[in-house]
Amino acid sequence: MPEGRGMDRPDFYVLARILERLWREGGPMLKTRLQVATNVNYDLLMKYLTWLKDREFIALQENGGHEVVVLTSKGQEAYLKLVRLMNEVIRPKE
Amino acid sequence: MATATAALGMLPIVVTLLLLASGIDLFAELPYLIYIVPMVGGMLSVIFAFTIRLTVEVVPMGRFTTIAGLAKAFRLAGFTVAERTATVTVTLDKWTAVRLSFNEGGDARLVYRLDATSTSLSVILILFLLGLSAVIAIPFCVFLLVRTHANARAYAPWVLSGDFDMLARPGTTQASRDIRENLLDSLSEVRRVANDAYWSMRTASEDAAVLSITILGLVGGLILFAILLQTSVFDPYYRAAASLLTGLGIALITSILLAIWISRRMKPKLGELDTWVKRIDRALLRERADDQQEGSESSIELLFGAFNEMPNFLHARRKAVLSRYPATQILVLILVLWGSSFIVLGSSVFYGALMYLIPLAVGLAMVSAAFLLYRWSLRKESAEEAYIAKEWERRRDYLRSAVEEQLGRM
Repeated sequence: MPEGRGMDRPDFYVLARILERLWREGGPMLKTRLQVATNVNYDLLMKYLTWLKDREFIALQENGGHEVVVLTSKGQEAYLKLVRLMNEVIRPKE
Repeated sequence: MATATAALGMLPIVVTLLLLASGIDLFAELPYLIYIVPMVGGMLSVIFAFTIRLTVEVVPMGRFTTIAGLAKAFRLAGFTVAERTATVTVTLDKWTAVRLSFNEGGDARLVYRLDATSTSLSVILILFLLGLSAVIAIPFCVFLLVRTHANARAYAPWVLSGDFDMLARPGTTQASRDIRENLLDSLSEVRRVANDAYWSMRTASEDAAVLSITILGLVGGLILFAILLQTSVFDPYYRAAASLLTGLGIALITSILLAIWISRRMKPKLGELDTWVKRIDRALLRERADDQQEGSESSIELLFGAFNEMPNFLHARRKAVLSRYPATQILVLILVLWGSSFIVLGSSVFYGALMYLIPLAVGLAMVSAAFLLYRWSLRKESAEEAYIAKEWERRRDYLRSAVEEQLGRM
């Protein structure tokens, strides 16, 4: 797993895209599938995954000799917060 | 709206009754009846159209639950919704809006009645203001009723078929439902704004074209008529035909030139807005069906993108300044039409008839007032736009810092 260097300010578009894809999957997802689904360069995806793992938003597990990515409950909570924030600014509640 | 329409509709009836009671021989006043009959007919049809209640469906659910559910379903579908305790008003398209409520009897019949949109209301006002054309309100009301009924019939099965609980499918967690509900709510709102921007821009260009064609054609015809009036051509039919043909000719040339200009100027922007609406529509369909295929566009990313575009969407609405303020639109139109008629009448002053100085001055004042009113609307809209742009900038900053804070803190 490459180190998450240069990821002090990650692109929120990419982060949101990864979190969304994992949330929709609802279970473990192969890294290669995640890469295709999110359309992110593999090296860059690794950096993002490191960043997300450091914050416990995702977990990496071994599954049949392959490394899979799983969204943690904290990750799901983070995604929910993102979606809520977006909704809050788009349609402010009176 | 119903109260206002009913009051408006009762007015000519009350006037007619008062006239009858005062002993005036109405048959002797036939020329006036020519104006009264279309007015009364038009108003009665308006009252009928805006008060009749039609059944949508017998709903086996609680009244308040159904009203809240309907409001939510329509809002999530991208419609503009105004919700009250016992009623919900949905703007279905530019012409029609429906007010849904429950029948006041014992059964649980969901009923609807026509509600005015700014466009339909302004058309009705123009028809009545122009006098005899009030009779056109009758077919216009039929058109509104048929269109509303068709819309209500088309949407009712979809709204009542279980979309109420589309967010509460078994097997989904509360967090997942929250996520989907928030996504749908945000998507429907940006869809509403984008769609509004698209139609505003389209309507603005069409309105500007129709207004320019009408005014130029009318003014051209009237000016020629005024010139012919001062010449040795005495045949009134010749004068009328020549003026009409000139007016139509000018209108035709103007419409061709404007169509080319509008197409070149507006098409790229309209295409861009249309693409946004279609992208959001696809995302809404995917979210509703909970069907995310591999490689399909990310809804949250689409929302980020649309959110950044919101100031542009709102800016596009500015173009339709007259359509957004129908009362101003009508006033500008009337001032220009009457003003140009007065100017033509007053043009006799150039042939030495000084008494025509007054209509000329009145005409110029009316056209100037129309111009000033239009400019005032534009300024008002610009001020509003500047405020909205600032507000969106503030929201964008808030979102950025809130996201950073949330992700950094967790």
